[in-house]
Amino acid sequence: MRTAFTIAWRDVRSAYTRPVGYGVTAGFLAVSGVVLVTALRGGEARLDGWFAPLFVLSGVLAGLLSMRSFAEEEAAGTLEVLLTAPVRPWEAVLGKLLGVLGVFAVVIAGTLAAPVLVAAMGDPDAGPILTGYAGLALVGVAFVSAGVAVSAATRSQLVAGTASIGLLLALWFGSVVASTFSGRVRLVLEYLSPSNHVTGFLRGTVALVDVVYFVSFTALAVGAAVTIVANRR
Amino acid sequence: MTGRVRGPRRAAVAASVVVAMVVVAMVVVANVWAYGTGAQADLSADRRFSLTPETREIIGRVDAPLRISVFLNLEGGTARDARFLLARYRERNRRIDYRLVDPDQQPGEARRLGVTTYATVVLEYRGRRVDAPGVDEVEISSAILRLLRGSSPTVCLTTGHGEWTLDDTSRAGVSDLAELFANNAYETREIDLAGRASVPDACDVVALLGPRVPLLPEEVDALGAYATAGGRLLVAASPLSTTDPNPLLEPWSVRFVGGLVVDARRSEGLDVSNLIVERFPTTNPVVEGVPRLQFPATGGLLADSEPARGITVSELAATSDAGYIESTPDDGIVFDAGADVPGPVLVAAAVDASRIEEGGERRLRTGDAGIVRTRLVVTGNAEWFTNEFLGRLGNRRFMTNALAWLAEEEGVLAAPSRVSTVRPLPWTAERQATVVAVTVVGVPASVLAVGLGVWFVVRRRERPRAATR
Repeated sequence: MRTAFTIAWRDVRSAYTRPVGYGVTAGFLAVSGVVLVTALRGGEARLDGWFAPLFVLSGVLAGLLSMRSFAEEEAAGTLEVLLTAPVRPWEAVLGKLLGVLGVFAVVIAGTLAAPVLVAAMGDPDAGPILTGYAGLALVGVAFVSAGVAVSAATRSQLVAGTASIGLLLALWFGSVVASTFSGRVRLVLEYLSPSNHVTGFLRGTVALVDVVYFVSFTALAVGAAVTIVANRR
Repeated sequence: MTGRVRGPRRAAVAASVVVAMVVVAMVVVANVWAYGTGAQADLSADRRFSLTPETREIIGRVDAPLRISVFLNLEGGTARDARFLLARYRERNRRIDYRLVDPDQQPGEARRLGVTTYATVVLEYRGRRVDAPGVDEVEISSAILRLLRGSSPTVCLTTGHGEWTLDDTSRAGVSDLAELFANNAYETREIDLAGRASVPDACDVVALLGPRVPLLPEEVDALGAYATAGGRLLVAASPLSTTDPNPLLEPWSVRFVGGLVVDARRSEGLDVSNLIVERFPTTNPVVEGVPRLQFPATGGLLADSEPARGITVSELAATSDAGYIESTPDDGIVFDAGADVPGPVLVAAAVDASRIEEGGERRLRTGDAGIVRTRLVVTGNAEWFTNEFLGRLGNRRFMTNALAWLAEEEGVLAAPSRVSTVRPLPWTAERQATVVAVTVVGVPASVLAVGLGVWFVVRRRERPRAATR
């Protein structure tokens, strides 16, 4: 476990001792600010209209952050060192996952300025803000896990990033495709789409099924990443 | 050699496949289980996205595709709230589907359903259609209830004797009661029985809501004949009125004795005639879930100790032992053992009279004969359902239950009080400038500034090292 934390800390430090980490963070926060301006145009002190696009953007962010995890090591030629070191595959994956999540957490922490500002100007319902961030955390962990798995499977950062973002957006908008079907097929497709599992977080409710969905998503993605890394050794 | 390498590898692959299958199976089981529980925590203000038990029961009864089309402006919080609420319905029953339509963007669809205004909700189920007046839980659930019933019971309200009118929105009016009727999918109809020999056939329930002047003899006859023929009456008598309801009540073993019921132990403030009723002597659906009632200025009722054959009188609500009927309230509120009636005093009663007759209701196979069932709910007070008192304690629930019991409805909604969900934040130029300055410029610029600082520090540290090398 200590090895995983060492890998994670090295990756977080690497991100924030180079301009790219700050650039991604500032870029995401600027976009989230623009989304906030749009969301508040309705004249109500509510943030569900801000969180909803933020969930989609978090998929893009997860893809951008996680594409570096294994693919960058591959490009730098350090992956072989990592895989041949006395590090278990799950430790390597967990370390990479925690590293990306550390950066993700810093970025999301930067968005806290939005609810603080809205609370200073009006009287928003605190419940949906809390559940919005809870949802963002669950979605973030799940999406980053998927991104790490894709990164582990490819040698190119570009391919990893594109594939991660493409996969997550396809899953997200799968609910649109689902609505063209009927019966059980529609139910299953709807269930598989993460967009159908964030509605509760937006309105201020936390449903067990949504939590289990994102935990399952994470478990399967991490499992896939561990299997891929183990096979690459 | 090759075999020795392949053997363990094949075993490892097989083990991995088995582990993967087990994990996937566990994930599927966990998701199916979580999907089935429907458990959720509601952190929203006033738990406004937690459906009431009545709504959940109604949703559970939907056994065919039910489509809800909401016509409204898709921008803004109202549309999002509508989507959130309707998602709750679908989460509980996947046969329920919903869509939000902007009538300006899809005029064809609006025209097809005959929708001309915003905030119209159309529900379609088994080829039937019901329109809901708005997108809140009570309105949607009531509409579903109407679809499930297939018809809406009609509550006929007598007029011409100074009764309350449903459009009176003052504190002493009964507009909230009108809303309760609508929310619980009852049609209402005013009937003037003067000059009529009978109550219209369309009346499923006839309500006498506080008549102030006496009913004409032919009106009493018409109502009496209606009740005898299996009618349903809601009678709200009042000691403040000159109407004598007893010709209607006495055949059913109940009498209104008037006076002014006082209860020093169970009343609001210093007004001993503003009763807080906590005693519900019999178990009856009308008082199910009713914690307490507030009955101001109430007259007393008496139930026959030995009702006529086939008649059951349920004592719904009564005062405490300290209550009594003050027969001469104008002379002061002091118990006079000779003139006043000691408590506990009955203030609400329900009558169920059943008999077997030709053409009666046939739930059991008894040839052509069936049960003819007369039902009455009587209160000694005609103020408890006014706008001032309907929302107090369990009065609303009592009315809802009474209507349901009279109309023999199986499930209706006790409409919860509505909560204002709008939290205004007028979008002024000043606020927009502040939000842009902080979130679009300030915070990202700060991050970049920190990044720049770190980059300089790192570079300065790395330069001497590079020089040393």
